[in-house]
Amino acid sequence: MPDDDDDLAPLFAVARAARPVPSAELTARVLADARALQPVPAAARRPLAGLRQALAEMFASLGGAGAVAGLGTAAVAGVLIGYASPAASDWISNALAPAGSSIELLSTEGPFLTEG
Amino acid sequence: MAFDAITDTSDDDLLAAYAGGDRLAARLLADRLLPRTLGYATRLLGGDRAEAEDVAQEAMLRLWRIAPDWRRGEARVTTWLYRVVTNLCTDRLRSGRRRAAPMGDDLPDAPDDSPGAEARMVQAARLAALDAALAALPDRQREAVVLRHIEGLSNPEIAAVMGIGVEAVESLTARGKRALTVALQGRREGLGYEES
Repeated sequence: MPDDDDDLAPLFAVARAARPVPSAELTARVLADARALQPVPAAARRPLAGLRQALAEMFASLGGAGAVAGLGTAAVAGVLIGYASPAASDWISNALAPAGSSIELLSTEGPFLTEG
Repeated sequence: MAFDAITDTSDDDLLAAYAGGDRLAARLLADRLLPRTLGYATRLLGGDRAEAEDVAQEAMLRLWRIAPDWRRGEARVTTWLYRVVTNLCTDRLRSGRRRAAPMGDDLPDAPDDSPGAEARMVQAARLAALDAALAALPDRQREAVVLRHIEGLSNPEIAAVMGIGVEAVESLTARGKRALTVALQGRREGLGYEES
């Protein structure tokens, strides 16, 4: 083995061990780019596609749009939820409770939780 | 995702998951790829950390952009990234944008009497000397030597990164190492090497 390799090998080993660590700021910038460029999944990109499909199937099973027109609003919503495909189910929760919002199921205000 | 599953997941699979909308995939890919991207760019740019960060961010941005069109089996993600970094650094070097980083910035200013301090100083001096010698190499020799002996790529992988044949890689690596040896020869004593 030539002497030059004997001298360089330990230096290369030091260099390999001294790889710079990305700063938190650089990592944050890289991940921000990733979020900005990340493709939106197809189901989320076309939320109405699931709705249209569900409506078409529902109308067909209930005897056409004329029959559906005679139903009340709550009945239509109930049938619609039942017909919605699993892949498009997110649009329901997203429509009811958009991302970032919260739903208080049990009010902590008022007299309901106080003894008395 | 279990830790074993994460470590066993290939770069291709993570990239596909990212393209499919997986939020965690980008973080995992960045953790894997950003250190080597930054390290390679830093060495190609003679230690200019600010420029190297710009290059690393740009290279990762191009990876995010190409993710939906990435074709498995044609190239490794790391090979592709190294090629992008090489080209970005070459452009900056040729345009004269690289600012020469003063060597020795990482050495301590005040005397350090803690145990192992002398060993750490010798190590830092050796690294600074190597970086200075690498920075003085012709661009292509520096790329080949860094990819081979610091990044640990095989000669065929380096050939794919640099767009040349394997024999050309071997020639560049050999010439680069000879030049490094000559550059470092006069500094043996200062770098803590015993005279044989």
